[in-house]
Amino acid sequence: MEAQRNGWTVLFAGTLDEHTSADALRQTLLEAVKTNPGRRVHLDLSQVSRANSVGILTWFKLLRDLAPSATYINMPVWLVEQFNIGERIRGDIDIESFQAPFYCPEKDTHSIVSLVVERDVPLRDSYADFEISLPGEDGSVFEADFEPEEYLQFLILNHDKLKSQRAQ
Amino acid sequence: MARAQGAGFESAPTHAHSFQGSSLLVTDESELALLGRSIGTVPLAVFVRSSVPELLEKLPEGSSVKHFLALCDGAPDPLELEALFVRLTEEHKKPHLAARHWLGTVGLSAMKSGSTQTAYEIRTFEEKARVLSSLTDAIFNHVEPPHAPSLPASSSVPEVRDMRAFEYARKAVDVADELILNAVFDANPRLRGLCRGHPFVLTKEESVLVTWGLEPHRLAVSVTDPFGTLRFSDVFDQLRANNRPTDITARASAGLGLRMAFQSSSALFMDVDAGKSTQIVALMRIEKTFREFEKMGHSLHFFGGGT
Repeated sequence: MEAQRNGWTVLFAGTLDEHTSADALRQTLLEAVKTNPGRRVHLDLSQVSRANSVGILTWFKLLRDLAPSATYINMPVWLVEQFNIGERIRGDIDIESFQAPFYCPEKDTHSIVSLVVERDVPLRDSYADFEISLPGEDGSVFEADFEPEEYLQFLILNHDKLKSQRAQ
Repeated sequence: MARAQGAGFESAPTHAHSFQGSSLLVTDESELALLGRSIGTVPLAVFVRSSVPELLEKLPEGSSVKHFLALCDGAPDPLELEALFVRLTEEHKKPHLAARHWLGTVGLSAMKSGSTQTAYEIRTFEEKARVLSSLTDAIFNHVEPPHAPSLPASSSVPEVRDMRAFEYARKAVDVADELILNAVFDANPRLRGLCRGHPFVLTKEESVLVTWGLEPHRLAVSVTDPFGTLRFSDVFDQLRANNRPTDITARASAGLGLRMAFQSSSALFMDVDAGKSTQIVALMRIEKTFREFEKMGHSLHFFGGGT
């Protein structure tokens, strides 16, 4: 996996696995923190296609050790799934937006769309009755291709923390 | 061959089922009292209405249940049932069925003609990467994007792709990757305890066999190690709900890998010939939508091995 800094955003790309150099990631993250004092670093992993348990362990250890003030943007499906397994969001980490699968029955087409927390998806402690659909350019409708109560579990598990982050 | 019908399976309270000479006692998770009893040699399966991790927490001490069938709309998956019964039939005929033949026997022989099977032996780090790349390509070629994508107007991300093939490939590769890592760093006594990111070189006798098969509506990925050290108690411990990795930096990643593989599969079949081999077969339904895939739930089957 490679990391590229663009202002206070760090864009990651590739595969997060045993080949990932924690030192290289640490260096890029540190530069982003040092050159943007007082700003939250944006972590964009949307170009990371997948991760295995070795890479995920590397990633969380890195965040634990550096303890940056950071915000996930466009959090990819694999990372949402990881948080849904039970991992808690730790430290001064927020989530601005995350990716989710959508499906257009009319066109039989699948898409991954980034949803903004509190704009597209409210912070709740239950999504049992939550539904969301998006309009396509040509008038077609994309339906949520996930069970909200399950896929949005990471928001439920971290509800209090994310609420308090936003209250600050 | 005759098909085991999911919709015909009655769940309440307990029913015995036979299929081509093999028997299975099936009960519902609400019948927890039964789950602690000894029931002789007939395997006991339980219909899972919550989830396997939650049910594992509720199992009474001494339970002999090692088959957990997820339900969708009140019925188990007929394809999974068929795989289960074929496996039970084979066990009846041949108690120590060679695990390496099992994917062909169970996972894919029932597949439609035209299904493809591919097998690789892995001995190094680099071979693992090549095999995972081949699996990705195979699924991309298998799951055709039906149409060019249409960009949702409100998307915050300008690049929107048709993600069906991509996501199923990712899930299957995740499963294979985690099972291979477990076969190398957990099953093999020589490498057990080493950092899982460490480059490995296996001897011919230690090599890990990876096989997969694809048919229109499902795929199967099998990973076999030549050690047979997996115990049901390990699986139980790693999957149970109260053992969720709320902070994975504070624990080894072995349990995380199995949990990731379980969550990405429709069913995991674990087949242990103690001291000889462990084969884990992940079946994945390739549903039209991911919502349907999730709705099917996740099943677990464990054969042989220690407790």
